[in-house]
Amino acid sequence: MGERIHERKKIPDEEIEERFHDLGPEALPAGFYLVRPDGKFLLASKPVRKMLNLPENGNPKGSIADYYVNPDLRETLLREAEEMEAKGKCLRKNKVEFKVKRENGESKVIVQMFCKPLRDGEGFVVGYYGCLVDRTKEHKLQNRVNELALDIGRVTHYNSTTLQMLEKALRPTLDFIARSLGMHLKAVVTTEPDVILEKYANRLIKALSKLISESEKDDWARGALLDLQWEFLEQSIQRLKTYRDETPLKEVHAGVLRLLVDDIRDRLNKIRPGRLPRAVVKDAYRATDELELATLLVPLLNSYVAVKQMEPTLSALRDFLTTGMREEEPQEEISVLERVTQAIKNMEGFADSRGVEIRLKNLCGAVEPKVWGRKRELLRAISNIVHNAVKYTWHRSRGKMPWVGVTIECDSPYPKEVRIAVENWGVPIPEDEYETIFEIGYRGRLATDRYRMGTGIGLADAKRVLKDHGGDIKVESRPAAYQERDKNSPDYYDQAFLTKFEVVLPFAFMPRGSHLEGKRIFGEGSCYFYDTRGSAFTVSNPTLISILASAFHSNATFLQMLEKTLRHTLGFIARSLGMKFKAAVTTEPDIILEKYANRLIRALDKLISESEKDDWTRGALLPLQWDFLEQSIQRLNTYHDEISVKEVQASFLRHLADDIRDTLNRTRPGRLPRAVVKNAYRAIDELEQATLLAPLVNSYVAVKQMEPALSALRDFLTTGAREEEPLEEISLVELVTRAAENMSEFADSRGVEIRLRNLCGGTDPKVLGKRRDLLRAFSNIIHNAIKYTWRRGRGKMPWVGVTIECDAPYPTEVRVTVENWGVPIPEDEYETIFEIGYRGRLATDRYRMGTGIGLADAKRVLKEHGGDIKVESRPAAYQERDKASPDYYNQPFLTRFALTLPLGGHNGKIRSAQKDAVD
Amino acid sequence: MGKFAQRKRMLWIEDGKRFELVEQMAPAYYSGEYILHLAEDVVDGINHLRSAESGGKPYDVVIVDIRLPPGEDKVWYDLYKRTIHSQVESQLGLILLYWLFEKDLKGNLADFRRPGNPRAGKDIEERLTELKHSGVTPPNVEKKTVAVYTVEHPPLVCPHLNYLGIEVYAQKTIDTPDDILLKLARAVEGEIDGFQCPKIEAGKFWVGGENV
Repeated sequence: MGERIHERKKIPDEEIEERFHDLGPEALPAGFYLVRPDGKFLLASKPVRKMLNLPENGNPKGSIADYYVNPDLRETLLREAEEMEAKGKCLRKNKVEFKVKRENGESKVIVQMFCKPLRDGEGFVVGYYGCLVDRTKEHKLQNRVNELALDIGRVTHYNSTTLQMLEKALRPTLDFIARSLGMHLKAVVTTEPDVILEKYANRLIKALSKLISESEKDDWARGALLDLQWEFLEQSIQRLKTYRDETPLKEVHAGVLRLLVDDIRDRLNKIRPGRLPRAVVKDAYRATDELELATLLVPLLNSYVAVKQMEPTLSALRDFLTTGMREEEPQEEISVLERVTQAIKNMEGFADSRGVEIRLKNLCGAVEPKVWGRKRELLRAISNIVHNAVKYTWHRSRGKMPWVGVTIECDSPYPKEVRIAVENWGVPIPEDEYETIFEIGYRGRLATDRYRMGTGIGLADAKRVLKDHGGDIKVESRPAAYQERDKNSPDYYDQAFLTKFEVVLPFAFMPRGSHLEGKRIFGEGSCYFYDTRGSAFTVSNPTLISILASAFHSNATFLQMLEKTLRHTLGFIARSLGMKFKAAVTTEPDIILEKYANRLIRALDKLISESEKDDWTRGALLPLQWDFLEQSIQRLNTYHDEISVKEVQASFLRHLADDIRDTLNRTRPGRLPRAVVKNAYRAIDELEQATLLAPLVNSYVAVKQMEPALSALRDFLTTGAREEEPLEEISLVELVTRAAENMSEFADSRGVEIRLRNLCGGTDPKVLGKRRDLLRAFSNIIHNAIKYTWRRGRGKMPWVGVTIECDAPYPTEVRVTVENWGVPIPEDEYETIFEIGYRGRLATDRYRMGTGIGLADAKRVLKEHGGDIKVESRPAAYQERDKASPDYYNQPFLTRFALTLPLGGHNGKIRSAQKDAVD
Repeated sequence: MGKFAQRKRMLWIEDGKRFELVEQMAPAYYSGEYILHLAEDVVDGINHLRSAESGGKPYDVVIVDIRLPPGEDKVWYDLYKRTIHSQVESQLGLILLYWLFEKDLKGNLADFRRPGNPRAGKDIEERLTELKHSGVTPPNVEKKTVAVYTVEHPPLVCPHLNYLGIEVYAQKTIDTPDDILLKLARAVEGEIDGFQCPKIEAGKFWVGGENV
């Protein structure tokens, strides 16, 4: 630098001006411009020339006015520039859209513009000058962040849908299991799981002991099983007595007992018939089933609670993500009591699932507390706090109901502010965390206590909303016992704490100041949200992304738990119905329902015909009740026609089965043959189980399906970038086989067969490309085909065909077709389904979920490799229905995705395509 | 009795096991092959490892999660708090493994960057230095007894595990078998294959640069 100064000094003064003229102001490294009032360029420095594709040297022809995307904008900006000049400032616009003509068409450039009028000695405007900075890249980045947020919003939305479905599947299953064990669901929620397990373990001990003692009567009875098998049953009794000591962790007891029950049932199945009293063997089986049901109860209940808990967490996350993209909510006067009541109502389901009671007290007397603000935001904030309190409430000993207290207080008869206190008894919050728990992404160090999940967003969001409303929130947490333990004792935080969140909000008539004057802020390199207070609430990308990644992390393990619970429950119900797990998952639910509906029809028919024998038997029920049973037979025959939506049929039949059971419960004993009544009850139970099967299967498939989308998103969020992959020669047969293998698990869960064919003869077509990208593309397409395959009638396996074809004996191109039989793709969507975020309008058919990313990603990858994907979808039947008919799209379609790729090394097509893509 | 005498010892350091992962413990208990001990945070894990060492009964298998809460200890809590906004970055399980096996870090972790966090490797170095200054010495654990079982996918953890020489790894996914703990234990004991971390070299794997 010093040398240059020295050099500059050497230039004679008279030369400097000359040199400057030679160089010209165009040489300035900043994007400087000078235009005439009509916009014609007088000067443009190199960056501006490059930005606007002006000639590198010479006179910059053209007018800046021609570059504006919105031609009227220039006039407005010039006026603003003159107004700013009057204030001694220059105009600064962060986002002005320009259109620039280039050799390959027109492109959009987003510029940051600084502008000032240039005046002559008399004060007339002779031009305008300033700087242009190219901000296209930053805006693209911003758009990508927004797109990502939308993607995440979409995934969380599908997540919520699945959760709702799960809730619908789990609740009746829980009801059924509880009833089978002679319990009410409420009792199940509040009883320690271990007590239930112990009861049924003892019952099985008794049944097995009876069996063994029967076997000891003589050799004939003893011969019912091999000695080794009797020994196993004896050991099992021992294990049923000692499982608690073997597995110190209570939570594992159910799993261990389930494995034991499986083994015991295996041995019971080996009993030779006729050697032991039937009733004793039957009782052992029943006790085995009951214990298995009890072991299912606990994980089902945990899953149910988790689902209930996830729902508000996810919707808060979704709300949080979309706040910045939503229309601003109007401000109004809001009743605090109404909002608090609504928030409690929102949380009732969750509280119920955890057996927690929410107690509301309004201590404001005749005063009706009102605040000024945004209804939806306040509701979210209060709901978050109540949700938090319910979540971190501990179960108390038997007979004591856990609770959350919500109290509304006014500070005087003429209050200036209203207080909402939300109190619970449970997980402590250490004093040094009183502030930090309101920080975004922060989760209290004891917050993971007892397996609770969360995102660390709820409280931070609540605080922000309350501050926006001129209020605040504080927390205090103290040991609940009178006799406090020593603070330094290691078990100080093991005791229950009383935790109180106190919200303060100003009354509506108080001066509001400017705290709700909303404005949108723009954060470069950050996600932006509404900043309603003027103070920034931006979340930098890494922070936001890691919060989201954490949320999806919880989700991943949560899905693992759900998968196992659903699989075990499904296994049990399928076995009770005499079906194999695979058959239960693959058979169309309607077929199963129909089978058991018909079985119940037969059982009720038999009952009615028995009743018609004489007045004595007819008197088993009132005429009205017999009428009801006859009507029920009618409804069981016609439910298909009554209810067109298949998914509703199961729930309808469940309710009908319930009513039929109620009626049968009124049967006077001794009037009808016992076996006939018993058979009717069994048929009701079986139909009920069949109705549970369909939603459980749907949930199971949905959970299986949710994982790939979630884990892809999570991995992207955690790592932030994709791998840099080298180009290599890849065997297409190997690649496609691998993709099919990747999807085989998912195909299995849906009972779909993948049929792979290679029609390229003996050749092994090779392509040059990125292995992982191509694998993902093929996997996506196959995944898609499986997802949208319909299940077929009994005996017909649903399938997805994957075929590799070469176009000639010396092929230049290879084609892979992926075909399925199922959900149609309308012709007008052949192109659009490949657009990012687009989901076919029939794609939501039968609860299938997706993000609208898979196909777009696959197309991009194929294009990068010089190939393409096309789709065609036609009715599968020979006799096509009329296109105009309303049920045209209700028939199955054959859908074929054709993926083409140029063969490796051939005329360098891929390489150049790759190069373009990299450029 | 004979079976009990032969039982091996397994430690699982994992905070989700009581709830989401509870079903995965039953086969380990039921098999009767292992005495399974459980630790729910880093400090709990260290205490278990220390008492095993002092009792002369080291664990045959130690299964470690990557995202772990710190537990009640100021040093570990402070380390956790530094990256409190991000469970992804806190990765206390990873810090625990470095502390156990690379306390006096000889290598340079600068290459372990990610576009989301170019300082990811440096951050581990700094936190290890803090641990070193705390003066607490790590318990002795044999590296070959360790397996990692985490939600994190291979690109995020395997460069570290390769560096540390920890060979057995499994990712938690929806399709993880119920008896995964037994499988990992067998992999640690060299009885079965299929649980190796892919060889991923740090620094060459990720594109540096812009952060989306």
